[in-house]
Amino acid sequence: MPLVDPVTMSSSAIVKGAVAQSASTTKATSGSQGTDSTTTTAGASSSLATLRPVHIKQTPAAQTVRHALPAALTALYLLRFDALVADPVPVMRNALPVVAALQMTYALLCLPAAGEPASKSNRKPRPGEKKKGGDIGSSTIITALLASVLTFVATPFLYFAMVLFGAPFLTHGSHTFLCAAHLALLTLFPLFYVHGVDTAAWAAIGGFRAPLDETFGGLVGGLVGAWLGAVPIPLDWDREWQKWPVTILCGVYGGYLLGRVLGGTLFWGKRF
Amino acid sequence: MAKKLQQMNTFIKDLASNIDDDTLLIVMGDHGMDSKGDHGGESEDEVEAALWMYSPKPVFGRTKPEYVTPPATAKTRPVNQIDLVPTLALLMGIPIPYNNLGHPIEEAFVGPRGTAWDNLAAAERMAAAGIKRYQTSYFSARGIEQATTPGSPADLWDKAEALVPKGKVKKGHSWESVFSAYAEYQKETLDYSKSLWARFDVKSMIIGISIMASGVIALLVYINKRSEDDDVLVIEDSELENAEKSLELQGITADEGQNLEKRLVRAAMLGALPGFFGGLLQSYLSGNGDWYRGSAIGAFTSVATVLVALYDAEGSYFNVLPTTLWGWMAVVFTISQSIGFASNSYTIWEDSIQLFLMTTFGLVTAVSAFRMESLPDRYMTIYHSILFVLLGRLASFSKLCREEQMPYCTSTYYASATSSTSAPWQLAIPFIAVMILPSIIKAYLAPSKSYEGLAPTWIGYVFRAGLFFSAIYWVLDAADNGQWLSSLSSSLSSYLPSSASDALSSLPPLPDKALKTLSVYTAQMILGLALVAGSTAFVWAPPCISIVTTTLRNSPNNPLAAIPGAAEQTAQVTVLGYGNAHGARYLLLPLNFFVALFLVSKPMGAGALALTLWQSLSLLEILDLLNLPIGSNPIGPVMLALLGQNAFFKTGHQAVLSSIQWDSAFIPLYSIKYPWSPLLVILNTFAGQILATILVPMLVLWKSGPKRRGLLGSVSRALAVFVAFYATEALATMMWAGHLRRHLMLYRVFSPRFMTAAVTLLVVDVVAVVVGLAGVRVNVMSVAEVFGWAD
Repeated sequence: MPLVDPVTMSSSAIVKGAVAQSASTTKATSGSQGTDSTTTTAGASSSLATLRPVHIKQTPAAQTVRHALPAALTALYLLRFDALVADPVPVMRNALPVVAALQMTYALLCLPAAGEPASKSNRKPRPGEKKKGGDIGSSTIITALLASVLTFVATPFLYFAMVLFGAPFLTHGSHTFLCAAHLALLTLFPLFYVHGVDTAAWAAIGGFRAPLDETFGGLVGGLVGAWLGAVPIPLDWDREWQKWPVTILCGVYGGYLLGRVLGGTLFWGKRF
Repeated sequence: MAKKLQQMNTFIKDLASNIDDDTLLIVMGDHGMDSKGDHGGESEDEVEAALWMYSPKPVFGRTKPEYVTPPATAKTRPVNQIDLVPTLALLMGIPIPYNNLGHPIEEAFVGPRGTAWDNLAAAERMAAAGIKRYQTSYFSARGIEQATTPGSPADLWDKAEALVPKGKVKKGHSWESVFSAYAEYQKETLDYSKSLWARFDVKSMIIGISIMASGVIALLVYINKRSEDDDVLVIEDSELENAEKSLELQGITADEGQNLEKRLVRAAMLGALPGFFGGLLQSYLSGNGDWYRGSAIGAFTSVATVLVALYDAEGSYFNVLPTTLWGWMAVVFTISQSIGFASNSYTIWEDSIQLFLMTTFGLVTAVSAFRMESLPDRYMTIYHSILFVLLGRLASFSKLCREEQMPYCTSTYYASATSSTSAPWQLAIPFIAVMILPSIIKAYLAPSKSYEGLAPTWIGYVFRAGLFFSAIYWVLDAADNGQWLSSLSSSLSSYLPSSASDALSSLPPLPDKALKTLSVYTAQMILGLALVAGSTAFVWAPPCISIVTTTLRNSPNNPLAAIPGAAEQTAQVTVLGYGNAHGARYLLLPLNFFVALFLVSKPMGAGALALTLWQSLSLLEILDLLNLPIGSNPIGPVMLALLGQNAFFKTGHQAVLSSIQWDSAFIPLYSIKYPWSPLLVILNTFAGQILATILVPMLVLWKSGPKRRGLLGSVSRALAVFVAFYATEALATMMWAGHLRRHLMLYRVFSPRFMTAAVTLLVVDVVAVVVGLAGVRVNVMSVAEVFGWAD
């Protein structure tokens, strides 16, 4: 296309993708107007660099719990699997407090609470220095309680996300909701405990730009696991475990545990 | 498993001990199972099953002592399932069904000692005579002469008849040989019939799949080639422009992008000729009548020349793997579905999988919104992502279940699962669309100041009127089908006083076909408005822009005031809608077609189409906000293809022949009229894909100002990606249907899906070229006319 540029238009080039909605040209002399609406507010980028991967506390209790809890969760899941397949709703409901207790223990013992100076748990205790990482103050308990409230608040959103992915809307309400609750408790609770309602941190998490650690790795793993958990549902294998939401929950637990362990070890500190 | 088998064993034992002497117990499997637990396939393990027949009275026997112990597997001495027909018929003393081709099972007629060969031969002869009768009438019906060559069924029959002793039978006559002769006849007939039933022309299948595969490869190479060109074309810096201008002055044209397509089309045409005529000549000389091979060879040579032409084009290389997350998503979405078509489950639940993939896309766009620097952009992206997903989920409530989805699916498309008319509440859906859709489109145009020019009139009045009368059409149709008028007048007369009801009944009744006539006229008017008047308007319409002249007063902060010699007042010309000049104008074309598609879809489907249109607009916004240039990114066309394919299911269709809405042929007609009736059925069936195809150019044109160059080339690439999605699905379904040609579900699942994919590809191809590319050309010329650029 030999496109001839009209001279009158040459002052206002609007490339596709620019936010400019109206272009205007001044006939008399040079005029620049209209195209200046792309003022950016850099909110997340500045804080992005400061968001650091979470260190697990160095106390013996924390280190023990760190390794014991994934095993406990795995054991719980495997033990209750047959019952879950038989009747998902009561099993998921009854497991919820247990999982909540496990996650609470994990958060209190292993993770730095929101607002706690991150360096405190980073530093190796000098010989002779009194170990203070293991103490659980009242403020950390309040943080944990607030985090569980936030987790509870976030659960309906996960429920709706599942419905949007095609989960039954008019039926199986408690199935889906309990599944969302498990997902929230596993993946979101530790993050709420660590980051609180820090907007910048959550913007980084929302953009999947946070550095990988046990908490964020768990989120990534849990979501990917839940996504993959949908894959075997349509197959006509007529297996009991294909019923809603067993495969999703399986994916959530498998993905979360894998993500948490890998995020805390192999991929620690890495970013997408 | 062992426990279940034990239970079954006990059950059968109980049953066997409790049946009386006149009862026959048959235990059999409907299919076998291979070591992996797969069943329904064509492997021997899956086809073979056990058969066990038991009677308390000693009737059955074995022809040989070594047969007393049953074989370990069904591979030894198998019995055809069709053999049960004559066996059971003879055991019950009823005639063998006319079209039987099986023969009696030996053990059932040879007597408890296994010596009653005369009895067995009699049974075999009776079944064979039935087969003979059936075959004779078959051949006479087809008008074919039966072969009598040695070894043919007719010859075998004669030989067997010759063995039957005439008159008094001597003791010790070999009845066993008589039995064998009739059994031979039955076997030969069955083999002959089998060769007629399952004739798979594997050679043609391989040729077809190879053509399709090479076509897909050529398309992918072209897409790769174009993306490099586009990266250059999108750049709009002044240096390049100046360079181009100087080249133009020297008489060198720099429009490499346009030339490529012209060259490719020429290569495709010329390349096809030798192959086509060579194939025709070959079939003429060989006399096989396989003239269609000519087109096959023509297709091959055509694709080959296109590939050579692409290879010749400068800087051509083929990078197989995508480089961005979006590219990967496009590939994964296409490939995962294509692989899924190998499984009947994933084919049956295709619509749910599409919803899942679309929601995944929305989630990823929302996540990437968090990476945006600009907060308003971030919120808009999240808003449109959520909207995109929400509308898709809303549309998913419109479904027409296929048989295989039962009982996990509830149809909502019609009033009930057994009817094919809409429920009264569904008639309200088009009216809701009338009320909100034009405003929604306005809302998408308004931010770019593009609701100007013809747009307010066309969208606000003509488009709305088209939708309104479509909604009216479906009310008239429902009234006609449900005979609302007669029931209304009868119920009125029961409520009114007798004098009034007498007056009512004395009124002349409405002519018989009044409602049908009215609805046909309405439909014809809408189609005329949408397609004839709409296309005319689209060709002649100016761009959706407004030119506003304002005067700038001299003020201290006006920079012009400082310029000596500048006038007291300066006229400033503002072009509203400049930044979206191409997109806003082109939108009128899909909207026109939308009205036609809206009419030919039933109320539920019309609502689903409206949601699809809305989703597409959100998709455009998302892609624009995320700044995904269509030149190098395939995700836009792939998402649109997915939307279109999903709309196919949401407009009350499934990949099965029985879901075709034949009554759509009569929407604007009284009787079948060629070619209009088939066209209407196609419009109804592929409404989603047609709408999506016409919307593809929007991916390039949306928010494109008049200065954007190489539009036709970019649109052509976007359409190529779009077509590549459908072509890949067609290739995959074709391959799977060929590979699974002996699968239990071939005729129910795999073949219908292949047919759907093939016809879809054809429709999409035609619409892309005839409507899409032509529309873009008209659009570019119209915009160029105003902004002074010759094409």
